[in-house]
Amino acid sequence: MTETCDVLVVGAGPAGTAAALTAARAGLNVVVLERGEYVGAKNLTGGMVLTRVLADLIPDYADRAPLERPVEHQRVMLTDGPRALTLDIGNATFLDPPHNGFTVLRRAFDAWLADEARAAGAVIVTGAVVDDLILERGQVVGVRARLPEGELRASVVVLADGVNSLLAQRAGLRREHRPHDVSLGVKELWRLPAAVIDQRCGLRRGAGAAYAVIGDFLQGIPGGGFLYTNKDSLSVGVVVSPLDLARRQVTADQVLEGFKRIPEIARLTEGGQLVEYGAHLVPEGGYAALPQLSGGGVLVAGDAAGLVVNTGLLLMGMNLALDSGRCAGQAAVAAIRRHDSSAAGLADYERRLGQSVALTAMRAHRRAPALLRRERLFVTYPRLVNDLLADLVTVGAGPKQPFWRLARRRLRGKDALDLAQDAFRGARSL
Amino acid sequence: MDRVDKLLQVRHVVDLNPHIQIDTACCAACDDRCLWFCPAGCFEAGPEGIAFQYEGCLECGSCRVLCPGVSWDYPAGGRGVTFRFG
Repeated sequence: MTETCDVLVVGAGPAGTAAALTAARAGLNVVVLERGEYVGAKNLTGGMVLTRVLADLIPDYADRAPLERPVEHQRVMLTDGPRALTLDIGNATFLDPPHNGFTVLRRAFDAWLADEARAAGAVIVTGAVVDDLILERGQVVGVRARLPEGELRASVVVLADGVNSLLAQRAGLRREHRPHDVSLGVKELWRLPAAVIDQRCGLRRGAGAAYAVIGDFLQGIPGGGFLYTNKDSLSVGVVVSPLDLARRQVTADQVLEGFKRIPEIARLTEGGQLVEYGAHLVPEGGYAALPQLSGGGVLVAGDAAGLVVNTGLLLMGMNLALDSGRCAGQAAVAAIRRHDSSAAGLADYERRLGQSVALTAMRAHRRAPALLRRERLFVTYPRLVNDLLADLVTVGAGPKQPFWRLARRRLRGKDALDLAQDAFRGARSL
Repeated sequence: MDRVDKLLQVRHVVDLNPHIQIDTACCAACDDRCLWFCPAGCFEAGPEGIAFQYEGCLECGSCRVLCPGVSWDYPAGGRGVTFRFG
């Protein structure tokens, strides 16, 4: 028996659910297939969801969503051994609407978002793996799922099946990721009383902090460490290039252990209880690695489309997923109303996306991926900065010299051209 | 803390059919990168080459992208790694 619907979405993460929500609100018949035991079962974040698109989709989200903490402080930390320079970008207005971002845990957050789509009329089926697309005359007309129904047909299929989207490859829309276009995130969740988190992170009650850290703990591997404050837990992890892990013969877990040994990080997690460990790939190829985003009867959104921006300070994915999902939902609605879900009928998706937060951010930061593969960024500069600042706050043997003279000595031997080039590229790509 | 102890904190609903198969024919020409990139330690160097077990897999997909000998599929619906917090 074959079931039929207007829009079939593969994957109930933020991209798929935003597409489902948008199409269901327009009165379409929407089915979402999610392979996890429950919505959110396969999903992992650092992480913080930026509120811009979420507020557009669900204006009263702040009253209802299972959010952890509004992020008031974004802290950039450059470490070298036991030394750490922390730059705190604080903004107390982020505690009030429209906020800027909230820390979240994905099982609760994704489940809530899916309930919003259900309330709008979408049907969400969990435990349903999609194996293949049904193609007729080059047009996607449905999917083959591991369900009793087997085949499901739809006017538009939205692929929101994540970074390991096998279906986007089968649809001929994307080729396999190149190894240097993916990063591996590993994350631990540490339970700690809320008051302890407030105190250690210097937060007023219930406010949040997000840490982005680079330094010698990375052992020269492109990537970074992160720490996010949840209500009564800390998300602690690293995102690193798996190819470089192999080159250096270290595991992501060893890098993470080194990160947690930094005194400024160790004091935050001390005495906590580990409650979960996880890993996930991040598509970090950027604008240059974007696949074809639409075809006959099919649209690709979120991680499946590689919509992630790494600005060096911030790894932004969920916001882009929500935004691209919304654009996919709108494009599907428009195509179905015109009775034209051919490639030409759905090309509107790319036009919408072109004006969206998602694609404009990808374009703005298109130079970042190449910059962020440079090793000296992750070791040399954090060391240099800590050396320079140590000179400022310490008195060594011999006569004290003025700072400019010390700085000149520190910079000697560094390739001035490299420094200038990196500074210039950094300014252009971030 | 040892990675093995961390992995014990992860909830798995084991699928009896392996979702990943490896063809070790390509190992001879490889740098054993799987020993380092796999966050779950599913690959191990043994006396007869690389040994693989899928049960503790976190489904990140690193091997799918980095190992030419892997054929990778999703576990059965509702099976495999099941994050409780995410």
